[in-house]
Amino acid sequence: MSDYSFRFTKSSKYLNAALIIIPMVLLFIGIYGGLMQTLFRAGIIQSDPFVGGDYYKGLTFHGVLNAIVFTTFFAVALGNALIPYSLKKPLNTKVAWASGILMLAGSVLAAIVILMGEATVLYTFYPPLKAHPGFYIGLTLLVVGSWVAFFNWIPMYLEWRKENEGKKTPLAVVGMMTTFIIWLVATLAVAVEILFMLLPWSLGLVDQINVMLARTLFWFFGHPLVYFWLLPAYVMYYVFMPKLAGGKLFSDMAGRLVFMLFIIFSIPVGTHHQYMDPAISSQWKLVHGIFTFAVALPSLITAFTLAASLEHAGRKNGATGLFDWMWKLPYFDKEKWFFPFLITGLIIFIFGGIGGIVNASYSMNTIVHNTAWIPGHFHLTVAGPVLLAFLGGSLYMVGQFMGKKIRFKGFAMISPYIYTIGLLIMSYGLKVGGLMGMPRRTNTGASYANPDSVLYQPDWVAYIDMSVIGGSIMFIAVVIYLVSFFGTVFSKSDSTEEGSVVTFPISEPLHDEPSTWLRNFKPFIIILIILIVLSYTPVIYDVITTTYDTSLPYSPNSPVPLR
Amino acid sequence: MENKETEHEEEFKPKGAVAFFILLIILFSIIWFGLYFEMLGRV
Repeated sequence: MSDYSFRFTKSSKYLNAALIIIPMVLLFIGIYGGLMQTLFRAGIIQSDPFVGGDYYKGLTFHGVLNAIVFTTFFAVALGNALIPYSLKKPLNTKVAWASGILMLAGSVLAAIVILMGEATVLYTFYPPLKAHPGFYIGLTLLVVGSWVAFFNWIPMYLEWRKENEGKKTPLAVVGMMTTFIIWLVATLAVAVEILFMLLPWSLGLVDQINVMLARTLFWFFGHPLVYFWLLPAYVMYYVFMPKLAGGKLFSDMAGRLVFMLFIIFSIPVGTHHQYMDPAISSQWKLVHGIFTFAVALPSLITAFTLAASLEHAGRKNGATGLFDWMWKLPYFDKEKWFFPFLITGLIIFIFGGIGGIVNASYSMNTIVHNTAWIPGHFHLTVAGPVLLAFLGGSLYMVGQFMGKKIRFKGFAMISPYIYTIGLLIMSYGLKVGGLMGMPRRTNTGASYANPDSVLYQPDWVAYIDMSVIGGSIMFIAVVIYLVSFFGTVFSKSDSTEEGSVVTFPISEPLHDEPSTWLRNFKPFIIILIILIVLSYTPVIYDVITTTYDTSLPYSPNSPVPLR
Repeated sequence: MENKETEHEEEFKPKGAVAFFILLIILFSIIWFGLYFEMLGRV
């Protein structure tokens, strides 16, 4: 399996290359938006010099393009690549193209509406912020397109299981199916929010909306979204990284257990984003908090399993002491340029992970809620391990599917290290500033960082400046990466073949346990449904009965009640 | 060569990973309790 190659059809090859290249362009626009965010917050700019518009428009396209559009495209591309590859079955390209076209049409529509300034609702697009209907329709198309991709893989998976009774499903397939099971369940809630609440409200068909219900449905989706981002990275950590390091995956069962635990615990956790919201009783928030602690468990198992796998590789490379295996890994081997994207992400995730536990610790959330700590934290997750793994994966796949050798490997190899330095500086500034009270989602450049403002907070300025320095370094690192990415895309093809012979660095397991109890998704999906019913029924009951009929009506344009 | 590799794999005990994991939990505890006492300090 480890040196196995699979021939993709010409159509699949073009589709997968497009699913990587187009969102890479959108990612760059989003990352430019991120740099502008830091400049806005420091008061260096008051309006975007290229795109135009204010801080909030920039915040919206930075979040939507990077955290929703790019990640969804990449996850679909990775599934379209790894599932046919691992199952040795051809992809139904007609359905796959339909999925890609839906996703692309939706993303372009949402991006246009955002850039026109008609959907300045941030990436957490719940009310009272209201967007142009095109924004909601665009996101719906993106999500439906990703569902189509998933539904395209299910028959391949079932057919393979029928033909290979008694055999374990390849770990990469288990990981990708897990990712999209979570995505499907999570997006059902946001589909209800969009189709039955936000879209009719945006179209003017209804004039009232239950804000608390919409927020609850959003966070039903919003936190599992984190695992939709994270799991494709986990797939690459478990499946690719041990081999790239020169070793084997320490335990195949650990990987399977981790994915099944994510199925169980990813969804009933959303209310920990609503600790400070009214209308939901505190005991149900606590239940979601406990489940959030439970969902840390698979990440801890992952930390140990990957450390053991890397130790195995290090010892094969001659390490003998307790920790010197850490120094026997291919950190600066240009030929193994993919490894730095994965290892830097794991180092960053140490800090991202513990930040998440702090956020989820009910009463401790009071000291970080709605402060700059929160973007400091989630940049250490989605803009750390997730983005870096996706950038590495994108470069690897674009080379494979376009039949091209990776160009500027040195640039590719060094970019995650530069990015990590920038990210740690920026997140430190945001997190410490947040602990001092610096708010998130606020143009501090016009207020707290502006010496002419009565709100001026001189103590925060150093931390805001750190986020500018860190953000600029991150931007430079991405530009260095893009030299390699687009250098590869526009280089001459080395392949003269019609299709595309693709190879992935699939790791062999050191301990290949039978794991019979982890071979079927069904029991874990049933447990998930039970946990969702138990954890969300009382929450939904609370938000329906305690707020909607009793609260005064407000317009999104005014803080004063309408009557 | 292959025998040596098999031997290495059979003998492999991830002592370094266990030590790393213990240090990781200690680091997590320090950060978590740091924030916890920060919270108590604000009461």
